[in-house]
Amino acid sequence: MERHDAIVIGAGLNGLVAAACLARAGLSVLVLDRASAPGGIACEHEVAPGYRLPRFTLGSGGLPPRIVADLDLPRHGLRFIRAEGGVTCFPGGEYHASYRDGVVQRREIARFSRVDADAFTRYRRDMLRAARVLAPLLAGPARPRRKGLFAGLRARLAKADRISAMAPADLHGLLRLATLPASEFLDSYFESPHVKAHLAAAAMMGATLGPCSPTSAARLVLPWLETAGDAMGGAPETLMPVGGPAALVSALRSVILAAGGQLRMEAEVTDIRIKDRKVQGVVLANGEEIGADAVFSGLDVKRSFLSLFQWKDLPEGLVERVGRVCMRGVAAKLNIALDAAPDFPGLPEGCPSLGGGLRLAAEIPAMQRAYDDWRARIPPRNPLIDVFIPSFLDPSLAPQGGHVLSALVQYVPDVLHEGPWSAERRKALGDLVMTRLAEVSPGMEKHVVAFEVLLPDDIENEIGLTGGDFSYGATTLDQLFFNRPFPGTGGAETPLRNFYLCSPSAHPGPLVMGGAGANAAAALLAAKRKEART
Amino acid sequence: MSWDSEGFDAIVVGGGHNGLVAAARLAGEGKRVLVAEAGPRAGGAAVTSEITPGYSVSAVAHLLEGFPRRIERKLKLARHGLRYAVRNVATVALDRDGKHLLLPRTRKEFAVFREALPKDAEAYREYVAHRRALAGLVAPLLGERPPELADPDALRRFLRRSVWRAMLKGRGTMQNLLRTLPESIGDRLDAEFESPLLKGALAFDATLGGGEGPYAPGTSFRAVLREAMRLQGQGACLPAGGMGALADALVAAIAASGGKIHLDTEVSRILVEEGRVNGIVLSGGVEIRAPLVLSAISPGVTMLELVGAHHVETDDIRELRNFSPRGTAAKINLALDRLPQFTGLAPELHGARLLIAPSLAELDETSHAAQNGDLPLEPVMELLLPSFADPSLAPEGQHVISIIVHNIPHEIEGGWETHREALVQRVIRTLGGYAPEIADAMIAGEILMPHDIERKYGLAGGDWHQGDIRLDGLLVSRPAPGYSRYETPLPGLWLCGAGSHPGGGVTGLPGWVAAGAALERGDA
Amino acid sequence: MTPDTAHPDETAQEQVDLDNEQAAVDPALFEKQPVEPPFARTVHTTPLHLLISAESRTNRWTEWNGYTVPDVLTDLGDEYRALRGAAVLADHSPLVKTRISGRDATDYLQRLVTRDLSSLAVHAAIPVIFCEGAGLVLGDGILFRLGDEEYRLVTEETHLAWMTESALGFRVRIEDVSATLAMLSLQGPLSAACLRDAGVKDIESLAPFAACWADIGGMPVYVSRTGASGDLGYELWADVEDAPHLWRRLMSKGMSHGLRPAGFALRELARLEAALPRAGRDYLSAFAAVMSGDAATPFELWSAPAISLNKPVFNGGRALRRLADKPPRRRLVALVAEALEPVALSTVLSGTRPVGTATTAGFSPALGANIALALVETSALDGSLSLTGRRREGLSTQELVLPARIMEEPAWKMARGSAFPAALGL
Repeated sequence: MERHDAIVIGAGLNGLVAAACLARAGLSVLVLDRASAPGGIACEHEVAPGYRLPRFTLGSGGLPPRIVADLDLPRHGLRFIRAEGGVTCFPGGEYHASYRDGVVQRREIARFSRVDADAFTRYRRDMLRAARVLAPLLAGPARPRRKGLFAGLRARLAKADRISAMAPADLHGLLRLATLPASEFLDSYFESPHVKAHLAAAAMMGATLGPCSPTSAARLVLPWLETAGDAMGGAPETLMPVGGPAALVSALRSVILAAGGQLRMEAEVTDIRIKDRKVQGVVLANGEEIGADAVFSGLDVKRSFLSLFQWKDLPEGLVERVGRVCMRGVAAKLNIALDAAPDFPGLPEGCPSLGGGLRLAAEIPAMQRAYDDWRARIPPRNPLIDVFIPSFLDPSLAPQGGHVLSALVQYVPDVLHEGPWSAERRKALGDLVMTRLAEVSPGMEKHVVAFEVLLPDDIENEIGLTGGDFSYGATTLDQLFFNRPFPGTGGAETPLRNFYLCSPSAHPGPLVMGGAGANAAAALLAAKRKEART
Repeated sequence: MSWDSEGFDAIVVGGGHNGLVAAARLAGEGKRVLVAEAGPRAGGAAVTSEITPGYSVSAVAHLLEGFPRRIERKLKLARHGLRYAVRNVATVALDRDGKHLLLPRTRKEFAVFREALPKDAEAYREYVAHRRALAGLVAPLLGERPPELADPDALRRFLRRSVWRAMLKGRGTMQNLLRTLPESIGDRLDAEFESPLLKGALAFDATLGGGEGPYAPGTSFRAVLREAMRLQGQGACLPAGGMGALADALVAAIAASGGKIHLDTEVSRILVEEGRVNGIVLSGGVEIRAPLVLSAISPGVTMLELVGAHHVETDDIRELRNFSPRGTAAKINLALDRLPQFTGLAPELHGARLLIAPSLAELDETSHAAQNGDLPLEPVMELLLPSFADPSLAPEGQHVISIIVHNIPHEIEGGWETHREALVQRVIRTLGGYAPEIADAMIAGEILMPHDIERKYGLAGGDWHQGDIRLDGLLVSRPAPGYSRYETPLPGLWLCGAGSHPGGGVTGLPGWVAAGAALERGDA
Repeated sequence: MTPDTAHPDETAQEQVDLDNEQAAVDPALFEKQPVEPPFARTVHTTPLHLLISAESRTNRWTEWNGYTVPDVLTDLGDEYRALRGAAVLADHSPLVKTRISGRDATDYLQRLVTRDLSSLAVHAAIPVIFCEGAGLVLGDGILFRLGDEEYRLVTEETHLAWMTESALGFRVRIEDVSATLAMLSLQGPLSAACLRDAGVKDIESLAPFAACWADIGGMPVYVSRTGASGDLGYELWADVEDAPHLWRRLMSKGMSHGLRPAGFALRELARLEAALPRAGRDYLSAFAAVMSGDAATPFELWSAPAISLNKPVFNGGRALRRLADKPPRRRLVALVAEALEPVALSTVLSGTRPVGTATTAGFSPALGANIALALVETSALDGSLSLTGRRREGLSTQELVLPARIMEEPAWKMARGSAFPAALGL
């Protein structure tokens, strides 16, 4: 029987990161995926001949510098560019953009309010301070490996000491950030509804919360997490891989192959062999068995446990705990091919912030109503739309003169109150988004070459992501850190020995791209080191 | 009136129950105390008033849920006339089809409950145990002065003590607590129970008073807090003579110790001289001097209107303004010419706390409506027939009903005057679905919207809970850092109202702990 | 007509109701700005830019508060000699000027700043510090009292959000008048003589930190005896439209005294020699300091900060009273490092241990030595200190460790700066 040190199920981004880390540590690694090409939800897709874009994701994020450096990705051809924070377009033609440069950012906000332009300094300070507290929590496992009673107590007392040593204002600020609705938090800095809506819209993407839901303020920190330096003094920037997620995937693949790992596509894992609560290997759909010392699952937590194992093999209560994890789709993906460059007459010509994406949003109360609609399973009437045009940065993604446009529509229910999505409803959603797009880019509808709408259901059916939830489990505070994916975990280790979760269902979830994969690999390597010592 | 010659040691601004408790404690220690109350009677949210001659009812709050026994004993309230008509009032979730659900308090009731909901019974037992364990962890914090945020040593001691407490409660307690803090009660209940009625009833208690729906993060912890409040007290109790009986007993206690209460006495300003508080100025211009002033009214009004922004630092103003209660509950009191028969409800349960919250979905819907400024179609509410156990409240054979309507908009387009009647109609119509005769039995009634409650009974924002019970509105952060230990930065001025830890509800705790702290400090 | 109100946009606008308890902010300041996108033009200039750029012989420019200003116009050495031996004129219009007026203006400022303002007379100025709640400095500046209920606060950075927020509950109006008010700084021992020749009567009788209205060539100019040069000097406040005329007139009248135009580098050097910290350079405003160590308390920045602890309530007062009892953790000190030629100074060492950072450094022609302002741990102040520096020769850089000592007195502090009446000659 074929045997490996580690098998990674699912060649998604996190799976590849985990495999790359393990392979570079000298382990023999096999990555298995049922699709024909690696990438998982980030896989590249031809929406029309010659028009390429990520099929399910927006494709605007990059890996954190730590992982890029650890895996030596630049040597495998990966390049990054720094993009500005993006533009929000409001109904009525007003827009608000983010700029890295502090002076430009100040002038931009001053178009709405001079007081807010000044208040941004304090907002920025508080965001960066919070990011400094949060970043280390997201960089490794949420809690160290299980300890004895007294070790645990000591650790908690030490934590109590650390908290009490913080500056009172910082402590109070963190408390507010963790409990307040984003709307209320922003109210204590800004007065302009546009400035507030712009900041909230950037934070709410992918959230199962509305901007007026308690605890949603914590999401405002997310764009600031990877802003290492504050040299420029403005809004946070995003680091994007040149060539989009496809370039990331191919660089990771090349790292794995270079380090002696293997990838096998069109190999669907149907079962995991388990003996004495210890994972032994996997069984493929064609009946082939492959043995492994450790198995990593890049699938979401529900699929990992509920469809790869015989339920009787799982420890008591695990099925219920997994079943309780909240996974609900909140977004639909639209892929659009255009035969001409979209024009945005409402934006200033050459606006550099457009490189960071375009958001079509309304003011905060309307955003909250859109969220309420989602909760009530009403088809979106006024959704939050995140648009990204990767061909602006990389013209090779479309034929000469053409462009590809990705749109993520936020607050789209997975099932409607009346039942599953009907063909008319689906068409209505596509039309609504197109209308919105045509409002900011008149005439765009005439240049559409191809157009597809992927609802949460489609995403689940095609790629196997439960509920079509891109977050792999809701990112509310009760499902983050030590509560992710369920209380008492918080790392890649699972109740089953040698079975690791390397998807964003595990800590740190979708908040750090590739973080879950790197954590999972680190967990196995640490266990191996410990074994070697004893 | 020769105010000045009297010479007071302490003045309490605002004669709500917290102000009265603080005054009673100070007076009990031999201090000469004056309570200045703007309204015609003392008690705040704890008052009994007449709907129409002969029919009395607790005007605002209608049950005593978290009033600690130790305060009652120390102030000898029983000797001053506080009696209970019922202790540990039962809670019944009303069902549209008459299959009402009594939340069990005893083994016998649990057996009935198990029969009605065989699938949920065990889960309920576990849920209650879990909630009680966490409440046990939280409860001691409610009766003590919060630690000083700016003092790392005090904060460390506090946090270390909390860690030990959690440890002693068992291994999983801390984990449970951290899980419960950000959770929504709706998700929690959906995961554990099947019965919509049970879920609705449990979520009702967790969201009452806050403007948020059952699926808002943090609501699960509110259920714990509410349980902790109840642990402080003695379960939900109904004072004989309505909630006003508590106020009357407190007033009697103050009088017995030589304290004075002046009604219809509006404080226009708190006197600040050379950086310290030296008394109050009444709206007539009369100055009353005392070295200690305790304010039982809202912290924001105290600092920004009575003291004035000149004497408060900008950061404090920002924080105090962040803390602005917005009531989302209305109160309807009706006089009835007979006992309304609730279809399917056992006769002896007519005196229970009756909840109309048929499901989570309906709770959620009403809260959405309220947030969008709409009236709920079918309001969710809590009913109590106090005259069932306390016949003194109404003429013989006749009754009063007290209704808390939950999840109504704080403000409504066009003002409340135009919508008041519509709300009453909807409440009566909804009630009619459970007690068909109620519309015929009505002889008089009153409705109090949040702003009426604010105006008539002095609750800031008309909010019973004085600000959403959230983590950022508790302990060190309530009402603002630097004000959380009852003592304000202005020497001589203390806060003792529901705006301070542990917050709203008729608990008397803010007043009790504040007065204790002021005595300890020797300010009085 | 004062320069503050002379701007046509302002006189035309509706008066804000001062009885309204809400803080009023000039609505004109919230008008939509020109259609030009914020990123399009990176060069913002002061009204004097065209005039001054004609004087530039070096083409060396720098950025100050978002404006492009000359760094050095001719030669720093020449400009310095003029400053210390004659007089220099510089455009300081990028400074942030805020007008505070209204019935509660005095009360408002009393709570805003740390020092007691009750002795501040009309037409007088005073240096002020303002802090946030934790006692960390937000900014410092010069406060002018223009009338009974009218003040002007001149700061290095804008604090509009804080000032507006603080105005809640006061009948006061806060306006950022930076763009409508130009400021020319005339510094040097012969500055009084220049002004006299330009037509300002009785200039010698203007006391330090006093101000008066003057008529210079028919232009109303507010003249104050202020400036950060450690020497005699004046600042002239005028309408932006008058400013170029004022500049020309002063330059022509002062030529016989050796008056020269100067750039930003000289301002920095003069400030360094006078040992005056600058916001954004020697400390960060508490709202901008991401790392908590970047913000400082007044006790760290000034040896005798202008704080009236017995003033009942002012922003940061609670925290400052606590801090006043304890010796500060760090102190901003003026250091001198013996070296005959300019060296780029960076870290302060005690032995080999880094104990501070030189925040401003330069070569002082007055001392013939490298001097620096540095935030240094208090515990290290008694021992011997050294400064690391870097000198570049050709392509090689040389790392140096120079012995340093603390200067008790600023490198340049002339009695004539505070002499009264002011000297008209050398």
